[in-house]
Amino acid sequence: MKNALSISNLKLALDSFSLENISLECKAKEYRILLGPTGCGKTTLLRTILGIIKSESGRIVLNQNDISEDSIETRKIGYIPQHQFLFPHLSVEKNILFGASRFESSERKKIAEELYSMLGISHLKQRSVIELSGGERQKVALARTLASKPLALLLDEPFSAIDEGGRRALWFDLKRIVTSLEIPVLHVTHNLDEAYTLGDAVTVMIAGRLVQSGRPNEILERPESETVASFLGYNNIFRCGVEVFQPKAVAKSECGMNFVLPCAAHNKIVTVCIRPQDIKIIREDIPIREELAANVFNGELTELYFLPDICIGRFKADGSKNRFDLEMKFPAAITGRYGLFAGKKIRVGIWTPNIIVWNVY
Amino acid sequence: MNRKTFIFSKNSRFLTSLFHTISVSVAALLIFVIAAPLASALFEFLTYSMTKPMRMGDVFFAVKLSLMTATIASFLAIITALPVSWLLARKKIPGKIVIDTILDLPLVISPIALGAMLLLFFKTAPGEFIEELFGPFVFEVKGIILAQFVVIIGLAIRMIKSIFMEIDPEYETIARTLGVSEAGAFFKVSLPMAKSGIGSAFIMVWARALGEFGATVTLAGAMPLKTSTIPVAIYLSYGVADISSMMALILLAVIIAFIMLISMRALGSAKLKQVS
Repeated sequence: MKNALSISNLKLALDSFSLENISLECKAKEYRILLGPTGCGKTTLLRTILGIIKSESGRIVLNQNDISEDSIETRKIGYIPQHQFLFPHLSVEKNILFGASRFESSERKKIAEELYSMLGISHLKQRSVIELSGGERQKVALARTLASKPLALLLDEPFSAIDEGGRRALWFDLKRIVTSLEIPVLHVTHNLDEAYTLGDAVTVMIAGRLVQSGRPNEILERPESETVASFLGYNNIFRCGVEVFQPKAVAKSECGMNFVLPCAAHNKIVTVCIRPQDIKIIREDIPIREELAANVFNGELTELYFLPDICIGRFKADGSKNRFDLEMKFPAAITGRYGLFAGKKIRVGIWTPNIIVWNVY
Repeated sequence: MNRKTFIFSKNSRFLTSLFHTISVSVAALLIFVIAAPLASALFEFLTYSMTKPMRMGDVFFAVKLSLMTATIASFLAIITALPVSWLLARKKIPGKIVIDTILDLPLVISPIALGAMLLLFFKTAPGEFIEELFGPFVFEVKGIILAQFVVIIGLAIRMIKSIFMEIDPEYETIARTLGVSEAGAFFKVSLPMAKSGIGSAFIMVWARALGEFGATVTLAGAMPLKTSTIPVAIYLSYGVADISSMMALILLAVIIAFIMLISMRALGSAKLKQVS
């Protein structure tokens, strides 16, 4: 496909690590997130696409040309690593002009001027890169990379070294700018918020393998395996014995909770995953919604943790011997409205259509 | 504060002040060890130069020859050390440990032994061929440059290699993703980034070349007004008991070394300032 980056059957074995049969398609204009835990091989994959690491087999095709055997400098793939690596001996302007090394001198200046205004960094031109803030460094790194007019852009955790405050504004700037370039973008991160906000598509990588691809909400709502769900932070995963198979299965967990599943079951054992945001606290004075009614449990809110805009609560069902059975996530405002505190007796309902079921055997 | 804690803190204070006292005393002793011979050299020079004038011609020849040969040898050493150091710092090459060790040998072998080996080499067929090609080295100024070069090259490689190792190779990788070749990345990125470090390395090897005696005297001989560098001239003056010239040469060597070391420190602090 024109302007697309396509990787097929890429294999690579390093000393303690391997990439297994990696196939990935990043279409033109597509902002694809490569999501995975630290050390899963995301950076290795990027470095293989760039030609820094040689793959054992497989093809890398960019804009309909096989670039698998090309050297780093001829691949025309822009790369922004985690720490930017701006050249410390050059000013901001010279760093950006360096990016345009492939072009004639007059054109280089024109490219640089366009990028200054596009990124709003004209005032930094004469500054030394050593004096820049994290966000400014990131913008200069982006300008330097874009000055080379790459056919694809690879970003390796580009926001990890940036303060929380400036990070979100940079997300939107980056997305706006790279989308306008109409090139494929592959952005490596382990940050779920970043993946969800920026990605047109998300590919999940775990232990050197690509395990799931899809739109961000598909990945977050329907992880295909226990491994993906665990990576996404879904801790409510239960191995259950099926007690009723049709029309809607009922599965009993080891902790004694019976879950009414949203679908029929075909196997005797299933794995049930309940996302923490799908567990709702039910107030006595409000009628229970239909979607929650099938899975309502009484118990105790054993632990309550406050994050800046959400709360994490831990729920122990009546009669359970565990420290807690379910972990739930809800807006911080709920705590005050419902008068929640650790130790309070509560009733929770599970948003049944969102229960994830993997058949085991 | 209980009694145990009190005793401990009292002991700790005593030990700290004892440690400081010992450190200051040892530093003072070391400065004395270095400064006392310098002061006596200055005193002797002033005393002797009044009674027996030094041989100015010999002294100036030695200084001129030393400055020239040390500069050429240092340039050659730095220029040859640059690609080799980069290779050793960046690339996986077979037999790297052996290559590294061979290049380190001049650092540990006695300069006289190095000079003797060079002298013997010029008695062999390849040595004679080289002399035919580039002119004679043995007992010649070219021999001084070669001797100094061989003595300092290990140091030059070691210093420049460590500078390149301090520079993250990712800078070169980034340059290459921007369309610059590997050689271009070296010249446009690594080399300018290593500039001040290379400057320090140059001064260091230059100072070492200036003080080189063993290999020089073995390969180029000790001929007044021909191969007499500062150390060789000091040795010759000592042999004929020309104390005035010897002291003048010693003082000049000290002054040059002092200026060089100060410059190197200034370069180092400039680099630190840049980094911070």
